[in-house]
Amino acid sequence: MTRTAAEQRLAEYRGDCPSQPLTARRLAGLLDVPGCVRRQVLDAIGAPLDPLAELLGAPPGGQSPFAIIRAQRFEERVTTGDMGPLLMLLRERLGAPVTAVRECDLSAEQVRTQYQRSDDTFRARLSEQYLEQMLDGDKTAVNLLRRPVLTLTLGGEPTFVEPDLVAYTTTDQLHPVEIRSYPCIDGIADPGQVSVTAREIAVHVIAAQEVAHRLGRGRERVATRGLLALPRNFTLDATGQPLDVAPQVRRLRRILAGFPARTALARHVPEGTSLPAPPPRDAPEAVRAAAAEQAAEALGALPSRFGDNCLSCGLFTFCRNEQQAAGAVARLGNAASNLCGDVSTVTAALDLAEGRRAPTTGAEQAVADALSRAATALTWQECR
Amino acid sequence: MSLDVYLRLRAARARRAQPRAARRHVHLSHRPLVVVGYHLAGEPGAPVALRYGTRPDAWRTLLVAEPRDRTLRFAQLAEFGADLARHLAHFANRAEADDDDTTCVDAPQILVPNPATAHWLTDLLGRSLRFHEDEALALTGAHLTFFGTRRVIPGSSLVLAATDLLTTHWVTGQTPAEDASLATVLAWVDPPPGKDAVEAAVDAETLPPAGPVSDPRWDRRTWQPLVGEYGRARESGAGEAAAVAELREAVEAELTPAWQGVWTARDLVAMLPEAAHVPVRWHDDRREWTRHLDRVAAGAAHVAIRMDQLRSYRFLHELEQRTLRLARQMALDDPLLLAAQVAAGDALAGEVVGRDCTHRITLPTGRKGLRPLLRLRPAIGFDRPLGTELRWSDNQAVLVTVTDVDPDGTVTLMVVKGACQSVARAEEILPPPGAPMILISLDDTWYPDTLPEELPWTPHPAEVEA
Repeated sequence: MTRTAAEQRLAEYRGDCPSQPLTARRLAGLLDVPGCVRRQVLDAIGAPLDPLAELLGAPPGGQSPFAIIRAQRFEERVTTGDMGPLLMLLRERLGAPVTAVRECDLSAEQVRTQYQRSDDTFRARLSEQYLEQMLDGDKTAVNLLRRPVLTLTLGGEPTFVEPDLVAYTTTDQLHPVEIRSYPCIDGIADPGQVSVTAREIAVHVIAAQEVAHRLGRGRERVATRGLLALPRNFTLDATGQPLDVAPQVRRLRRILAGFPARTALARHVPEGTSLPAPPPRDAPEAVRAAAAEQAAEALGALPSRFGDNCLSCGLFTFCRNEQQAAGAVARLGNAASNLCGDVSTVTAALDLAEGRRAPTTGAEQAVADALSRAATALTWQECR
Repeated sequence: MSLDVYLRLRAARARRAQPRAARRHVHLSHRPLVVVGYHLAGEPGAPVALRYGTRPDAWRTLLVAEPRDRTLRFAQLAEFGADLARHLAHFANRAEADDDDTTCVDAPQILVPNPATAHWLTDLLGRSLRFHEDEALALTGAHLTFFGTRRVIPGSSLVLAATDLLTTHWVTGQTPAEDASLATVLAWVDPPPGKDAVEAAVDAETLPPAGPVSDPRWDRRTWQPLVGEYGRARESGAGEAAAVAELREAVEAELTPAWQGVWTARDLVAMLPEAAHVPVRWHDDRREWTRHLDRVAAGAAHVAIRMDQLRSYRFLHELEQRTLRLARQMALDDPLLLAAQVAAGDALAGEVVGRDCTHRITLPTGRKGLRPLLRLRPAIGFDRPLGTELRWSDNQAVLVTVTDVDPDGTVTLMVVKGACQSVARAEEILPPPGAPMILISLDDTWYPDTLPEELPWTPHPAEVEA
């Protein structure tokens, strides 16, 4: 398929659905669902997952207002008084000899008031300029960027990510700094949440490394070792731990490099079907139902790969119901689908296990052996 | 593992959970303290509500109308602490003094919906309270921390999570990740009449979460406005009681499904016959509870914030030993779990087809010794190497080694321990031809811990940040 044909097919498929820049969270989520074409196509065209999922009957997501308030309060606390608390952490925990903060805020609101425009492309250009100064080792340059916008290439297409902070230190390297509001109790934070954060930091690190590379400065100028600032115990005082995301960077680089090109993805997209624009929540029932039907048809037309980690994807409910209706083995999780190999339905697997059907291939034989052992052991024990 | 997958497939076909175990492997107290609750999103130190009680139809719900207000929070936690102390006081009776054993005759049990609630209650709230200046609150923290230290011990029944209770004894037809939700697991195990588990599980997804984190949408739509109203009422000094009543009504409605779910899960598991090793493990729990009471009485119920290296090593060692021991005990107690071992190839099951109780070999000492032989036709091919040592599941004193496997699969076993005293003893103990027999691999070697009290080769651990 030629590039234009592929672009046209993807654009047709997107239809009226708006396109959205991918967040670090969504990119990091690629690690959870490797090889799922459905998700890859949606990521490639930047379709918003949550509105689509909600349209298809998934419980609406979103954060609790209390969590949002707390996160804001904590960030204010950390960055208050010329970033005093953060400076201390940078020196103590990261060993960065920073004495004063020369900060630049590149958040959308800030950029809009200053330049009267705040689109991602413009912010990305600004961020790149500042990063270049920082990489030049200019002693008077800005050494802390807030909410810069970085460009990352996914399947050959640029996409934007927005880290919290990028700090620069005179040790010649840029370090990521992330502020999160889950507590660190007695020096230990919830490992699940830390690993989610580590993946997101890895996305930012890769993006910054690519900028450095484009500017001819070498990727190693952006360190994988950063600072994670968290509230200490049950207070809002800041504490921090150095966090090296090198393993996450390696894994994500692999996933990003392996992300199929748009021409390859377009081959999986059937003609004559397209996503709807998700109607607002208060739209008439009939409108929402029609859109839901269209979305279900469009999504169902893409091949998917279902497994344990799908719970973190917005489309979980839709894909789960689809697997359930098909009586698929994958519905039962990775352990079951790994054991059953290419025997994909529950009925077929049980027929092999209970001897109602003789295996025809070597792969089926292996499945039949493993499952019939279980079936025999169970019957033997029941008859005893 | 293959049996687990097979059961999941069967659950999917039957549209109903399948039993994984035929016995109950936990101790169930006749008077458990069930606790369900929510904390403020992102702030585990700030409880929103706690509902607790020892009967399904009688409970108390504590409400922190403004969870970020520390005075309100600790006042409510003090109430909880007082109730907890009253409850724990029922379990201080020791065995008769003339009996050598002075272990408490019973120990308390805490039941929660899921492991996350257990972690929040015993580890996080326990930690937030045990350094409190107020002595009563600090004692509550010490009690909760004690439960936290036992929670992680395999086989302990002092703190039980309802989802664990259900998934230990049943297999559902959904992904293991979904099994973390009490409502859906319960729907698979015990769907309401007229519905199959698949429909019931979809319905169950609309129930409020079992905690300790509340539904973000509920936070936004219901809880936040009510908290705001309460704040305004408190400032104006009018209508505070009405605002609290509204908050209470909202949170009671939200917590009810989890509360009922925990009791239903308990009732379902209680219907299974108790496994043979449960009293043995519960005795361990009672002993640890007694020790905790002694430490509290001596004013020494302190727990280090972080274990030192030696303690960590010993703790890990203990966890490993107990994990193995628990798996072994559960398999011996339960025919279904034994079947899982057979399916996995760890155990040998079959029919005895031959027995030679007079077989003798020359021992290394030069003397002749009785080593009876058994021939077994396995129900499932057994592919462990010759020389594998196995024990008889019905009488674990009997130790055999695999000495030969015929081309048709018949296994020859030589008895090396447990039935070698005399021919008559062997005939009495060993199963006759035609009897079924299961032999399991039982490595119960105890590796003693030989480390000194101080580790000479590591630097003194740095002071941990308090």
